[in-house]
Amino acid sequence: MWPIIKKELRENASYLLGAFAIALFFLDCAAFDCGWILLGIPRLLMSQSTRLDPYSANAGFDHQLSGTCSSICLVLAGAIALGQVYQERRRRTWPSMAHLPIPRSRMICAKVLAGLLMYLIVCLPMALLVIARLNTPGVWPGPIYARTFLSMLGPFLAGAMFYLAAFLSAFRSARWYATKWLPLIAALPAYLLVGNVTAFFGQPLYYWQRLATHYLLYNCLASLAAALLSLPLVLWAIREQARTREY
Amino acid sequence: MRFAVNPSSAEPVYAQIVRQVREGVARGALHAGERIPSVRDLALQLVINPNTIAAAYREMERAGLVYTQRGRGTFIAEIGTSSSLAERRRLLQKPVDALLTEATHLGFSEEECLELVRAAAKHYRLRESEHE
Amino acid sequence: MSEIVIQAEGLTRYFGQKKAVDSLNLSVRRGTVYGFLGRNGSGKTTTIRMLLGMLHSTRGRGALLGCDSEDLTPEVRARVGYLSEGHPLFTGMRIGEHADFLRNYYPKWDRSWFDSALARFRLDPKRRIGTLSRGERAQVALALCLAPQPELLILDDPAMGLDPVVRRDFLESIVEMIQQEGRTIFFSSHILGDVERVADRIGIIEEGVLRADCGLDTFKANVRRVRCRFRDGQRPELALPGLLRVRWLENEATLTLASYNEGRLDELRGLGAEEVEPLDAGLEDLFIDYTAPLSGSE
Repeated sequence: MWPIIKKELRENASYLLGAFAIALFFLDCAAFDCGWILLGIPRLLMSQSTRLDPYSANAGFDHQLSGTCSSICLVLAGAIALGQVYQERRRRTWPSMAHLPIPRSRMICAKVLAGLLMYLIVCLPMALLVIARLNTPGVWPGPIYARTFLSMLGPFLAGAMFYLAAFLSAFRSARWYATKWLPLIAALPAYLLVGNVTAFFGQPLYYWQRLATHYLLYNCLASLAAALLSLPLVLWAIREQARTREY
Repeated sequence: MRFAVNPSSAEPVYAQIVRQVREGVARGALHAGERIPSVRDLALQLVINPNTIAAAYREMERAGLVYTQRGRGTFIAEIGTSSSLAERRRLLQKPVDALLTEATHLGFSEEECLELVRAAAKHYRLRESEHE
Repeated sequence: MSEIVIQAEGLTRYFGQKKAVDSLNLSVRRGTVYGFLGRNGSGKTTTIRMLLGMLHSTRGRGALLGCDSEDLTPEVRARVGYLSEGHPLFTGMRIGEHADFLRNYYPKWDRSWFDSALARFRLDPKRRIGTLSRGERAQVALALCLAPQPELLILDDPAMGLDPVVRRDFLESIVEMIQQEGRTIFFSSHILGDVERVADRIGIIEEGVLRADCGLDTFKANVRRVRCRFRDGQRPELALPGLLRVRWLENEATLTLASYNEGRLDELRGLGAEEVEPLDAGLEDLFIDYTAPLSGSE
């Protein structure tokens, strides 16, 4: 499996750099709520935040930063998945890959792992930046629990899930106007679920006392229901694709 | 002797090779006991399927044109006369008829025809006749 | 070792409403060089993909080396070499790295053979694949395909876009490979001159249907061109069974017959031909006549 992972990484490395640059750029913009300052990274480490509201229910993350991060994660994940699949298709190397004497499932597993690794590589600098920002004095008005970072995990995990959905969608040989993008649509409730669950568990402990009226809990349950409903759809898509043997 | 085949011809390639060997032996370009290239070498040289070459060699061996010694190669056999005189006459009749048909159409007389045959026979290794 | 290396029974594939392959039956024995011929879009690549298990057949089944195409095990795949259209290679790597990548998966990879093949093509293993010319890429692709010593080699249009020198090199490699016992080659090509040189058997597929499946010599003996000359001014209607194509030039007709024998010449004489002569025609000419639609007098 490892050689395939290496090969995938090498093939898509140039695109990763591009994606990384774009992610950094938009992160930069979001962090400053202002224009288009490309070289604002040193400024990120200075204590200049006035936008943080520590009493908001979704505290644990800068709103704008959080929003930008999650959208960046989604876009990156989608781009990496589509890039992987369509690059292979464009170069017409898929038949050679499919003919390799290894079980087909293992090869796809290797590709998916490579994709997740790429996603990790691109998200890591972003995460480090966010942590650096939070650690600068004057940005976070309270003690930082480990649980605080859990809510930051939300967008990141959602992105990983989105990657899987995008990979499956691009891979499917269904028609684009019919059921091809079904897994992506099904991924939306999953994304909500992950976002809400991690936000919920990122709360300081005393909020749990008001569990019953906590809107985040309702959010969790609602998105859990939606995710469970969409699970059969995804499973059906996977099963149908496996049956056609066109993977 | 150099072999040359034309894959586009209607004549099968193996037949072309057999024919060339026969002509080579008849003209004296190939002597008895001379080694001809192995199937492998000839296939690579002509860029032709070795199965075809092998079929040609099998055909020639069956007809007694060549013989194979394991590990040493394939060699031209002596021009053998295994069939009876009547049989051989029958086999030669067809080319003779073809020759005479063409000669008639082209307007040659019998003497001119024989003269042509005699002149060409010098280049072939016909068996020496006992009585002249 | 089984005798039949490629088997297809009633292989059918629909793309929407269009029938790409229609009830294809094929049986290739070990040791054959099989030329799979057909016009563009006739279903060659679809058939090959179905045999290799990359495309699900709507009906029918295929088998390679005795193993069902839908469930080819890695062991069987390691014994089958496949070169797909356009000689695809992983362009991000160097030649040596590509070879190392594949070497992991094939137990019978012959490293010395591969190195000598590269040396023969004068290619440095350190060169990046992206910088190779088309002919060089094809040579590398073929070398990578042959290095694992496959028992069965399936080539989809291997000579596409290559110059004559590289094509001749290809053929020589194929001839060398056939020398070894028990190797089978199944290839599709449009360069019929090359097919003529190396193929034992040919199959012609037309609009998804396998129209001919016989030995090359048999095909060339049965499908023949005949030249007839008629009396001046006569152009009789030639309605013969098995007539594929007629071309008229004044009072001379060149016909292509699908089931030729000596008797057909007499038939033509019976229709009033003064001179009847069978012609030599290469596989390319015969193929064109065989697959072109029957047109009237031209």
